[in-house]
Amino acid sequence: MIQEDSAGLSFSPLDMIPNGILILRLDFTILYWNRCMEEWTGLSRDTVTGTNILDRYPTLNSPTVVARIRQLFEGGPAVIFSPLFHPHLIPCPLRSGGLRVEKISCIPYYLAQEKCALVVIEDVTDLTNQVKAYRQMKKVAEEQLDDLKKTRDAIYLANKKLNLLNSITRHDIMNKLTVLLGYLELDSEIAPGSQDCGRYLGIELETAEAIRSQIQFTRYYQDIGIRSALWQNIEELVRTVLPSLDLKGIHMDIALKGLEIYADPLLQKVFYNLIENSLRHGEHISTIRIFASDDTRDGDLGIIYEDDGAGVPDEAKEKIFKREYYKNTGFGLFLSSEILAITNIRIRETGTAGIGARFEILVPRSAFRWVAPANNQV
Amino acid sequence: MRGLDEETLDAIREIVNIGVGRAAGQLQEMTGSHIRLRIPDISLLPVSEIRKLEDTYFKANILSAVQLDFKGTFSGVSVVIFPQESAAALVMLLTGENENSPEMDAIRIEALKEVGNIIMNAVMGSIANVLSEQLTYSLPAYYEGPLSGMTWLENKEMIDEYIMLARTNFLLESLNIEGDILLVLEIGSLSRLVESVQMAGSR
Repeated sequence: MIQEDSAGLSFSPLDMIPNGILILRLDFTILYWNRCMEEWTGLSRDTVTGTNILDRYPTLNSPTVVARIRQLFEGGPAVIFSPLFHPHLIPCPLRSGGLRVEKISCIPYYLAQEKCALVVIEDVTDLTNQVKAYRQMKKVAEEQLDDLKKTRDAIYLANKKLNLLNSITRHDIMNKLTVLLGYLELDSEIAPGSQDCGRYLGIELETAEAIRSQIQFTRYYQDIGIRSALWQNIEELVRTVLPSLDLKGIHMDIALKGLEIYADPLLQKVFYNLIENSLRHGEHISTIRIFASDDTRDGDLGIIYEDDGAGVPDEAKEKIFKREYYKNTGFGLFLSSEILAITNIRIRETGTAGIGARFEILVPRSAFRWVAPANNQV
Repeated sequence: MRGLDEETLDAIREIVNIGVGRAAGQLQEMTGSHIRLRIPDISLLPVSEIRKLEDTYFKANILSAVQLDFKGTFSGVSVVIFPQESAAALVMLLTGENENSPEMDAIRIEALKEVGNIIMNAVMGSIANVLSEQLTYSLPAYYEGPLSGMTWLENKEMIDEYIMLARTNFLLESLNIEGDILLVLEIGSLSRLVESVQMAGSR
């Protein structure tokens, strides 16, 4: 295939190959430079043959390249330079800008009894770009799949919670109705206007009120899980609830820029409820602080809500999240904790009575992310 | 031939070790990572126990391997094998990629081929140099799949009584990535290798 003619070395078949091919002597003198190399480097074979490749491309003169090619001259196998470690060993510019990504194989080759290195350069630019694009696509698809899984889990959990709440509430209402019916029956057996009659009426009214409260409670939880959980920018979300609250004389310190959490769309109500509780029970609050803290165990992120009001007494710290504590004053901490739990977020109260309330909203790693602010944000 | 005497085994261990040390140096220089290759354990495994090799050493179903055929006084195949996840972890550590995917795509395969190439060149180069043998080689080829699917296993009748197994570990930073170097010799090649080793020892 390779012949020597009167004009010197002629390797016309190698000029037909769409890969860069060159032949090196033991001392790294270039013996051959094919047409493809001429095209890729812009250097004619007349210019490069007979010159030393290490002088022309000094970056090759590193132990990781030269030493390995020398191994080949010493009788070792072919040497491979992969595009990941050596993308541009012999820089070959692309017309569109940038450099070709190269895969290089150096193969032992005998030319007229002389041991040489046949260097084959493949242009793997397109392949590399395709693999990178594929990796990017895969990453996006995996993220979407992850979100879908989270949504499915959240819907499942929300349904479970709704069923439980329905069942408990129905049970409570049935109990109250039994009481009411019992007293109504007693009423029918006693003389109208008697002392007992008045007492029974009081109990009946109280029971009916309790039933109304329980039915009202269903209004608040009926929306849980109706819409899929989604990523929500916390700072923006908190700021949207502020105008609907009377915050006169209260300093709001919110430091949550760039934080998004994956939660039920009712998350807004959770923050509304926390602020409303501060206003309702805080007695003398002047400041509310909401900020993020990664000083938690298990890699959770803490969203800390603090006020400087009356705080929560120690004996009530856990009770405030129980359904029994619900006082018909709105959404309530019980429903707040249920909303958060849909995406495995927990809430607890860790403040000191007399100094202020402090709620820690603990977000697992899979349910928070930091994002760069959008361009239109100041 | 029923195994090797301890002296010959020691000599082979030393030759392979020279190669492994050289490979570690080159990988370290190339990547800037602190790489240590453990001195390989050399053992001979009867070819009839290849199945054991699969069960005992390569519990992972999918392996990533770089294979190089050689011919000369002794002929055969040298193979560097990694469990697939180790292979991807090795490439990612060497290249500084921080993706979680254990998948070996075209770019990672090329990088692993180069790593395998460095190890095999160094090991085979050492053997050829120390024993003053002329060997010719194929280009390294990548294989992914179960051990039983490797081409050299298809021609078991061509394989000598024993497979030489050099087991080493790549210690990168705090991670321990295991890899194996196999030397599968053709019929009659093991005795010729042993002769060469003994001759080199007497020189």
